[in-house]
Amino acid sequence: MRTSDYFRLAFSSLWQQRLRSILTIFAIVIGATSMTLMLSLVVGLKGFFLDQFNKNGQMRQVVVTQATDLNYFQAQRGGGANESGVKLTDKIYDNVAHETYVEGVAKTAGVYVLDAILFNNQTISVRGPQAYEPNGVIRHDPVAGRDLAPSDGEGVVTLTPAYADKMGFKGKYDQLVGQTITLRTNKSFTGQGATLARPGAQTEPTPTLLQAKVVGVVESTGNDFALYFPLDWARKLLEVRAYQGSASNPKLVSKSILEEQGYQTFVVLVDSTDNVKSVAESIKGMGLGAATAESFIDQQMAVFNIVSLVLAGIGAIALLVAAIGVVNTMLMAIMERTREIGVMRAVGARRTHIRRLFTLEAAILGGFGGIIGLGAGYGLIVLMNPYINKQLAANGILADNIIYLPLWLITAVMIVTIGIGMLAGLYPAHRAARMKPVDSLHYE
Amino acid sequence: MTPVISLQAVNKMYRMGDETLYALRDLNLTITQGEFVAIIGPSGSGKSTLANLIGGLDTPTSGTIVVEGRNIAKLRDRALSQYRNKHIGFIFQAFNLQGAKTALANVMLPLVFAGVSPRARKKRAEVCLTQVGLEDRTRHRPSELSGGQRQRVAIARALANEPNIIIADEPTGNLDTKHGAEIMDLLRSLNEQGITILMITHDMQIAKTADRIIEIRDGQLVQESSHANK
Repeated sequence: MRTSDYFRLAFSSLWQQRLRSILTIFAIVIGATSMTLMLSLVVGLKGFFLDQFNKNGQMRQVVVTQATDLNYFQAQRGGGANESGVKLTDKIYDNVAHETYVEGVAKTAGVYVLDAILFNNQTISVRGPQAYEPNGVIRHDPVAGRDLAPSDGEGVVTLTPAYADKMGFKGKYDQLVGQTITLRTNKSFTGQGATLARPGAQTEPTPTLLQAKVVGVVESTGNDFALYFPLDWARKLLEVRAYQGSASNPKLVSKSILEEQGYQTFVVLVDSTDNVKSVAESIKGMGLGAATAESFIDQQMAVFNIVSLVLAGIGAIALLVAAIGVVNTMLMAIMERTREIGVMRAVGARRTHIRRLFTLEAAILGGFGGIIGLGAGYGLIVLMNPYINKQLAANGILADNIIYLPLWLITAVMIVTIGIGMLAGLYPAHRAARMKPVDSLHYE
Repeated sequence: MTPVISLQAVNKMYRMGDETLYALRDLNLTITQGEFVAIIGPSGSGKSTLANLIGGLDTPTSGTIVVEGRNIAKLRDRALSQYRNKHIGFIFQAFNLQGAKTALANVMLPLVFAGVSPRARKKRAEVCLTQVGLEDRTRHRPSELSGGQRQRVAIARALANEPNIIIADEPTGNLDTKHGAEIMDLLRSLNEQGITILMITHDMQIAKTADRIIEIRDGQLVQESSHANK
């Protein structure tokens, strides 16, 4: 028997019972659609998540901290100030910078002397003020304006969309760029710009107001609320200064907090992702904490994988139910077509022919379910993407159709649906083939 | 004359609970090439079983059935299916046509299982339908044909693979006298072309058109009579 004839006969039988075929296919469509949708969702999000990391070179970063027990994100946010351990001094910086595979290092510091942003009669409390060397190691994607540049120093900041939203620039971040904001320090601030009490003078400490120009609204890599400073400026802000001596002969003494306490972190850029681990290991060898995104991403991927398993499981249950439908349909068809099977046997059909025919019919049901399910899934993705883009954009995340249908998923859905159809068809087909021609010919 | 079908000590048993029923018991029979044989007997006599065994639709419990030189009693499914396909043409009382398919598609079915190319089988099916006088009904479905025409389609299907033997199980059972007579004429003419015909019937009038009448009762051959009306 020719292969084309198997298909001809199978299609003509399915067409003869088209209502039942359509209903059976419909059940498979539901399973295939949910499988397509859920897996492409997970795959899309996973890819998006990884892209976010790759884009800013975070996969190639090692965050060096004084504390040795922090994960990547905790380290990136500065972690807790630690008394024990190796202080992050300029000397340590040199050592780290001279490690093999290290392309660059950026020092960071928490600008904890700030209290609030004053803008247009609004007072917005400051969360997450961060200073870093804008030397290209740490990068933030600008939503508007630009990222901090190496030449930036005093009086320049960037901030995240969350702040811009609070300041009333939601959806028009461009207009914030170039504006000057006022930063209010806390009362004990003694860094550059502070009015220091003369010796002997009895003055209440007051906050200092600093002016800063917003050069860019940038995506954050950690917290939603982040205010970024060039390290050079922060260095001047993080000073303990006081007048000593007599009122007639005051003497200004100053002490750098960064020199005293060390930097918050060193962000190390490694030449390639392959060497991240070895760089982290040798930094750990110096008694420092070294966190990489890898371990964090591994954790995240483990979560993603569990989620995909659960979602795929839901799709699989839907497909299982559909498979039972296929078994039922095929058993019914075989009952109804017993005489027809008998006639086919009488005119020369072998058991194998009958078995293959019915298995093929079931596989075709599965295959159609798969094709339509993929189509429906794709349609839903196309409908969902603009909505997701909008939602993400509202949160200041630039995303372009993050959910998509990769080729491997298309292939997988087709293999699974056809496979399930075939599997479901095996038993009915076996029963059809097993019937004796005499019995099936006289079946009423 | 050369025997085309030869049965020796054929038994066919069925088990029904504790009882063993003999559908055929120790049956011997020889049919020669080109014969037109009618098998008669009351229902349950075993005449259908005999036809099914010769047609390769069923296998005997014991004994040998030699058809055209080979013992089909011991054939496996593949060989037996091929035997039915190439050597036997079946005609049934209820026609057993596929209702959704055209006359042409019905006649082509045996050729599909024989692996004949679509073009060749269409040609052959048209020849067969012409042979039974239905050359203008090839695109009709069974429901659009009369009973007599349906049985002719079935005969055309039986002829598709040019078999040497045709087994007809009550071929006129569902037809009126006129159409029945037409079918009998057709069978006779096929027989005259050299095809051996084995016809099961319970109608003595119909049986009388055969060369030889074999009567079966309780699974055994009880009487044979020959007619010289050929």
